[in-house]
Amino acid sequence: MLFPTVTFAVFFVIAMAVSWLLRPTYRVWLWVLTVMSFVFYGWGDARFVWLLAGSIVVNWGLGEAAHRAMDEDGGATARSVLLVRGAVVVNLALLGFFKYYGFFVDSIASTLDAIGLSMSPPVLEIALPVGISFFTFHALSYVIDIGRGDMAPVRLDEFALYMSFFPHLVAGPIVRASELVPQLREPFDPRRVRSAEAFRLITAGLFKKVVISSYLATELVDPVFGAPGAHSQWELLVGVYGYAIQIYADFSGYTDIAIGCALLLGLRFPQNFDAPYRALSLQDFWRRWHITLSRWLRDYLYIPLGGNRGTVRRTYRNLFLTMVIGGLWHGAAWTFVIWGALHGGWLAVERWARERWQATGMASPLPAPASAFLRWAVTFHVVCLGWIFFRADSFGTAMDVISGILSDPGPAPLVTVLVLVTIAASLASQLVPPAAVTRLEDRFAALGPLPQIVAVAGALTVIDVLGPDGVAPFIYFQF
Amino acid sequence: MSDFRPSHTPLRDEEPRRRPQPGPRRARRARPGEQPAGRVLAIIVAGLALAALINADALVERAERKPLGPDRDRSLAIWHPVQDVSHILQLHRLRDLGDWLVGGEDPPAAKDPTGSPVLQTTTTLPPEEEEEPALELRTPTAEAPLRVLIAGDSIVRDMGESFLRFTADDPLIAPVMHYENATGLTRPDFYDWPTALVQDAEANQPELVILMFGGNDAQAIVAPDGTVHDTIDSPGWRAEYGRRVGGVMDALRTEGRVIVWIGLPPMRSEGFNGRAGVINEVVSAAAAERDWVRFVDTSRVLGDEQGRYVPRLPGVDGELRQGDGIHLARAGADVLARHMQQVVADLLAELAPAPTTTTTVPASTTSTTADDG
Repeated sequence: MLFPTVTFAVFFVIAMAVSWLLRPTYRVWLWVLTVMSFVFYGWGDARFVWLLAGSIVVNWGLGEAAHRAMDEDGGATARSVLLVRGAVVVNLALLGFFKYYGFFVDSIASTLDAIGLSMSPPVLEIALPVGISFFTFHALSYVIDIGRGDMAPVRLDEFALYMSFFPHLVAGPIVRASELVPQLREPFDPRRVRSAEAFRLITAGLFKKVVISSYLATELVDPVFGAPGAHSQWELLVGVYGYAIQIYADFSGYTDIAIGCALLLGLRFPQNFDAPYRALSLQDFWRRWHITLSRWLRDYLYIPLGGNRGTVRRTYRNLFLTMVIGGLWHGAAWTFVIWGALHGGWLAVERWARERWQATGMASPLPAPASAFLRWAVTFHVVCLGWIFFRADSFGTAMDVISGILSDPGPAPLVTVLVLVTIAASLASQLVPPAAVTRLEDRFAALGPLPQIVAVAGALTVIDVLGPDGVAPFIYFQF
Repeated sequence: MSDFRPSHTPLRDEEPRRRPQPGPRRARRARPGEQPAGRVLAIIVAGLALAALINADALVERAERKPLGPDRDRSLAIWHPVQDVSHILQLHRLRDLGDWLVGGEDPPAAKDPTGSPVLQTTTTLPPEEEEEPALELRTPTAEAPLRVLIAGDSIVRDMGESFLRFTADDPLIAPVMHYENATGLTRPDFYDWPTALVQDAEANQPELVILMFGGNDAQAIVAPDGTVHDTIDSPGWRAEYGRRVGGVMDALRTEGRVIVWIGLPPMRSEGFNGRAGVINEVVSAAAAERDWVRFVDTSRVLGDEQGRYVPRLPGVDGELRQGDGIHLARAGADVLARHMQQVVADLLAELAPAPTTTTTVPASTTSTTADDG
């Protein structure tokens, strides 16, 4: 089921009513919400419901077994470590099969072709289960946290809801069991729903996703990346900026809707975006972009690799590896690997540069605003360079875009005033201070019910008027 | 602005520390921004209902665009009454106001599924046998490249992009592309392609029109007399689709213009492949009766030697088709685009105007394909 549809609106109203009515009976509430989440998941394609159910049962079982295998002080034993590692292998194998089999086979076949051997690999066209990257990461965080002694296992029905909960199932945020299950258990107060924040998140999310993202995609980004050679340098450059806004609007829009829906059900998800295009360094960017993913990678990949506790060279290696794997998580293609490598490499460069600069003890030769602007500009353009590879369907296309930006003058009919205003306004909206937003929410909630009803209907109408005729595709869906 | 962020920025998810302690319900008033759940639910339901009333016309329109069948009937059964209430209360005017403020042109759409108005006025009989000038295609030059229009539904998009890419450096070919997702010839009430094509032809004056339709056309079709032909295999369906295809071919006919209609490639789904085959038969039959139309059979270009669906081809690096087994992936699009470049070159050679005594034919005018790789 897709978020911006009438079907989902009806589904959610039912889910919200059922949830609040049943909440006092905890176990019934858990099961009913889990069943509803499975209905949500299987609505368009029921095939992978079994996969999700299987993943829930297997991971819960492994978590239980690992916990029981630990010693009395809660420390790890050889057996518990083995069980956790087994869970990691099973989950990654599943993800690897569904997501990376074709990529793996392709890459081997191309390599063999290049050295003159040809091979006819068994050709399997494997459908990608929606949300598999997300629920795999959820399951891994659960089992690893148990293995580290950071949390005790939860009940099967609690774990089932954690894994399948429909707001975050398809595209995050990546929520930890340790964040969500305590909230499930707490008898939260139905008289205190954070409705203003939820309405703001949902309407802003719909606007970003349905209006901004689809507009930039169809009018600018898709034509430009589809045939870069047919567009001039100004169109290519603005097309890249446009994609930076498009992917932000699409993904943060979806996340906002997810967080807003969870709030209406009385649960708080972690924040996933924090004005990422304000970042003054790439390290800062990753504290603002897909925050739950970067936290996950930090806790379950970067730190186990050694983090920054070893030598300087080891730190750079860990950063680089973590980001490359982060890139690969997004998709089975070399362009995603290059995107990850670019980020990993630049993070290492930044770290090196910062240490050198601080070692000199010099003050910046530029006044603070100029220095900040320069750092912002460099960071933003490094991120955009990464987006070129992220969006392009092949390395060749990415290079076409880059070389076109550098050397292809010509008229730029796609760069209209509206396109430029959309991009500029979207960037400017990142400067709005959160406190101002909260004040607006509070004033909204103080209104009576009738103005709120009119506002909700008005917002939906505006979004439908400005949005495209059909439902635009959603970028992070295939992850 | 501060250019030094503290190393630990409190994130919103740490807010739960400020939340009230769990325990027995307290008789506290809600804080700003908070309301009781029941009230919130009522506001949401009322807001959605009001939004449905205001946007009722758009909701009915979307329901009408669905393929004819029980799902469409159900949707219309739900939204028509809503539309009636909306019109009584005049709430639909608010949406009209919004649409008017935003402006923009409506895409061409017929008022019902029975067929584009363009087709009603053109003859669908094969042209009479009369003395006609021989079909010719102008030999392009760098100053006056060949004007090419590529049009169709989403399946033409990828091939068109590859074609645009390959011909970007070719001074003799000047292609433009116009595609619309989820469209076709069966539902002119969703998007009226015959009208759009006539408009595109007037605007661009193409000498070569490359068309590719059909992926969305295997649904119930309505003949001008109102008969609904449900199944694509029925003679009635074929006749009506053939009428529309022939109508498009006739409407675009003009001197110095050739139409190339690309057949649908083999599909992974057997059922869909069968339906695509029916469409290809109808189109190729219509093309056979018209000498200004050429049909390109793609079953061996994108399929194996028997014309069956294959996900990859030997010697081609990458997958031919996207995950749905329908649309072309980049490698498949490149393969088809290269094939089309060859088709264009062959047509230019075959249909080059006969040299008159007063003009000299420049040498090698037909090498229009870009180098491979």
